[in-house]
Amino acid sequence: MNLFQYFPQLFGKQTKSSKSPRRKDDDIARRVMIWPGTFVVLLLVSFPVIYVLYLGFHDWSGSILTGPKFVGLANYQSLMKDDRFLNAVVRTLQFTLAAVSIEIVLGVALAVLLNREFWGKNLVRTLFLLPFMATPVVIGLTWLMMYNPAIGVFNYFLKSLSLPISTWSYSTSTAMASLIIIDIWQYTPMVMLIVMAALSALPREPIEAAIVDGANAWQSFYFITLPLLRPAIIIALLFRTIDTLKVFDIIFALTQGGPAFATETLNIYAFITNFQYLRFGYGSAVIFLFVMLILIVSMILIRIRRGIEAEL
Amino acid sequence: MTTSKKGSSRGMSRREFLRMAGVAGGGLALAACAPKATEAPAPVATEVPVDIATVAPAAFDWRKYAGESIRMIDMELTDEELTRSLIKRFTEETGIEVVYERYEQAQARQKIATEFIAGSPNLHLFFTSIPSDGAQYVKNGWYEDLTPYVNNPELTSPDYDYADFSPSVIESLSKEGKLLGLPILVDCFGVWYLREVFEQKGLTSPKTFDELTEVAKALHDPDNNFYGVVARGKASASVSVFSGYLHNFGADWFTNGLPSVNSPEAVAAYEYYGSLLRNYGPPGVVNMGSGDTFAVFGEGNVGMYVDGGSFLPFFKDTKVEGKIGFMPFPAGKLNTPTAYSYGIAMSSQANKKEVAWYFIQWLTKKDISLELQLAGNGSGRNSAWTDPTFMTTADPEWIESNLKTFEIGNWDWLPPVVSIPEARDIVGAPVVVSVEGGDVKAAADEANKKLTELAKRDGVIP
Repeated sequence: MNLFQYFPQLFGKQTKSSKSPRRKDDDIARRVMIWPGTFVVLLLVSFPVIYVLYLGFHDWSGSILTGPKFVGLANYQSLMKDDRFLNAVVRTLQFTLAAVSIEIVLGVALAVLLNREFWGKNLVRTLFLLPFMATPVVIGLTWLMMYNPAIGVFNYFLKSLSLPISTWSYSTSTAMASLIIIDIWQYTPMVMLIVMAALSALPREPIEAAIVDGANAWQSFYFITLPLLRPAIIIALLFRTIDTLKVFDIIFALTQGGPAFATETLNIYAFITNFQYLRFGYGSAVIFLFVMLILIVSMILIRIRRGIEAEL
Repeated sequence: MTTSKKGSSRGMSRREFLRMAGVAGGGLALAACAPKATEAPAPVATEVPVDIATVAPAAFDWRKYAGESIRMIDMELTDEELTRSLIKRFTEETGIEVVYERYEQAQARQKIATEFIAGSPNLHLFFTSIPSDGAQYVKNGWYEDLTPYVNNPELTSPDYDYADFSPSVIESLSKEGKLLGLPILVDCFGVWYLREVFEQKGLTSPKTFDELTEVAKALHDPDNNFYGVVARGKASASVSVFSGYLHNFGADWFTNGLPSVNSPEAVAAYEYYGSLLRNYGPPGVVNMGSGDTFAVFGEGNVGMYVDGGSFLPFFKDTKVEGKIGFMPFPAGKLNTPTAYSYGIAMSSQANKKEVAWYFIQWLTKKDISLELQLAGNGSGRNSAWTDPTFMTTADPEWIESNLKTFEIGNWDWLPPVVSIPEARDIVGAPVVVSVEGGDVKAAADEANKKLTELAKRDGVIP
């Protein structure tokens, strides 16, 4: 990456045209004034990354009597043999794959459904957006009570309808699915919003031409609308994937990774090793690998997106 | 009731008197007779009125640090309304502001740890349980030893009466010869129950585990949304409650210096605990910590609730308020139920430590301890447990369960390692397996293996 290309002012590459002394002073002032802000941002971004990397090679419990002890790659070696870590990786990917794929399908379907004129359209649209706007922790705590198998409202309804009750987030077998349901409920509207924006910007001509040629609604959607929506869907996919890999609030509010680690994703495991177990070295190693995972997945998605844009 | 009024008015008059005396800087003769004349009932009192006249308690200046401000993190141990009103009174009497923050236990610990690591001088006081935090916090140098403060007559009021604290409670708050906290909450595990339901069904207090099962079975009626018993099933949270079962089944976390959570007795305890909750508990108990189990019992949907006696003040405004009793923890092979204490502790990195000590001292002095005790918040002071008002107004069952447990109970309810949160996850895992009906022996073997690795890492075993 060429830094000069992005920050010409910082490195004084754009001063060729300025000849008069006054202009030159302005340029210097401009360059100087940008530095403090840039410095703070760089510090805020780079310090945590470097510190996490540093701690990852150490063993430290937060003691004020003894500082971090250098252990080399020991933390990373232990992680490769740590069942909880490896299971957390798998769970993170499972959660992301399940939640994001359903959100994309539902989001696109809802966007197409709501993209026509009907009475009360704005009201419906607003209602759909509410979950997306609420605070995840509040949502988590509310769902926690609704899921409670003994006093929660879901089992109350199931019982009223004489249906078998579920243990929801309160057992190892159903907890993960229960959490995925909340994520879908909350973030499908986000996908819907992105796709709706793209829909409203789509050219009408290809669809009208297809209808003139005798295509039915499904054909015109599948062969024309959907391919045209692909860039928007990829954007939604990228946002949702990165976000879902990092999911924390909902899991923490409902299960804290339990029961018996059944919902412990990487983010939760990193939090627990750091802030409950006070193993800051080990926890930093978890975080570093976690960031790497997010980077890799994001880069793959960005590649795919470029490929699609090139195609179009 | 008359004694109650007398007691509280006595407290007020003494405080007002001390404030006046402090400002005026005199009045020794009054100090000798006015407040102390009624100080009789304390059995372990080390002072007699004559001493006080010579030591001159009026010289103790509670307003020495007026205008200062300190900060404290609470972990939802005491009744919030009461604690806030006490803090307000402390500020009125001493002129010291207390910034009061309150979080659920696990969150409080995370918050406290984060501040310690950041070296924050502005966190002065926090609540602590030595079996939970002691080893790690001592290793990290996070506690301030309170002994020098207790022993400093310039900082500690002569009528503080340190000897009034129960020695076993003080021991439970000490480590390596250091006093790490002063008791703010002392209690035990036992069985909360719905009185009316017990009377209707003609049930009596279960003395043994077999009887506990029978009573739970008799109460259990899931078709009508009523369950026999509830207790924490969430791995880490369950450990404190489970410790009583473990010990009474004749097992222990460590035997002969090595982890032993897969001994036959321990496996039997895990199996019993799990099957009790699986067969006679509400569904989904494995994701229930103290908050969830409390909520379920508080809704009046469960006959028995095995948990801490210190929950008493929290039942206010629930559906079961005034309808509950507290029975002693059932016995098994042994009878060593779990007793616990929480202390108010000082951060070693805090500034203004003397000011912080003033609050610790004030909150744990006799009259305030008694006030907390009367609100159902077990005190560490002998005088509070023998107070005539308390003896006549508190629930006799609750008193008996507690006093019995203090006598025979086990204060070391966690595995003797440093990394307690991790150990709790490890030894709590078989609880989940057991409640869900899995292979308990295999889970206990796995837990023992992991606990051994952890103990080695902590340097507890070679």
